[in-house]
Amino acid sequence: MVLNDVCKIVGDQLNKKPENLSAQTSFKEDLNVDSLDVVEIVMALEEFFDVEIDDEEVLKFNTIGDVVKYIESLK
Amino acid sequence: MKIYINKHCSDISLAKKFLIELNFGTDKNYCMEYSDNGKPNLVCDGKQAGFISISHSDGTLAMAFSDKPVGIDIESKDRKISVCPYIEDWTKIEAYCKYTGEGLSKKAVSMKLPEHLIKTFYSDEYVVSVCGEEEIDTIATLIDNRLAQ
Repeated sequence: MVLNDVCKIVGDQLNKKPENLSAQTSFKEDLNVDSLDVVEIVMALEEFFDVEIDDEEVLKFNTIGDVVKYIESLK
Repeated sequence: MKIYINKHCSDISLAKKFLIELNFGTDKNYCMEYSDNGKPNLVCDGKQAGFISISHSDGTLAMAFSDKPVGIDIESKDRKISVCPYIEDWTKIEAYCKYTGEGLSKKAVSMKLPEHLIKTFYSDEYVVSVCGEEEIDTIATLIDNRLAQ
């Protein structure tokens, strides 16, 4: 399931337990990500899902759920 | 160009205001406004007044003030990353992206950087890169808004 995979990837990058993440988890408010975190997460997602994520779309990712919806739309 | 490293800030927002006042004094009304893309702009009495760049890492704030466009990035020396071999490389990329005003992106990782505009230095456990055309004439270190000896 895409949500589980995204939670695992985000969790690995940020040293968080995937079970504590959800579609509602906000990158800024809940996870306090910085720009380096964002680039690393995006590159890890691209590698795992074998997709290319547009830089302009990344700006719209507020929550894990936003990432999941986007990746599902590419599949 | 003046650079301030303000460590162990108990309140980052207050620390930013403090550094602006420290740099310009309090007799003029300097403040910061943010563009839609998150870029900070230095304003005095409603008009642009020089350039500013901000970065923070784990409660330590770095700010650069210049009369020309400038970008700064601060990171913990021990931060492990996968997008570049060394965290120093990343600070140069981020400083350059802030200098140009373009957002950070994956493309940024493989950009050719204007090395002559970038200076990298170390402040205890942090690495700092600054990108700008002016020479650095001040680097001041503070601890929670108090000048360090």
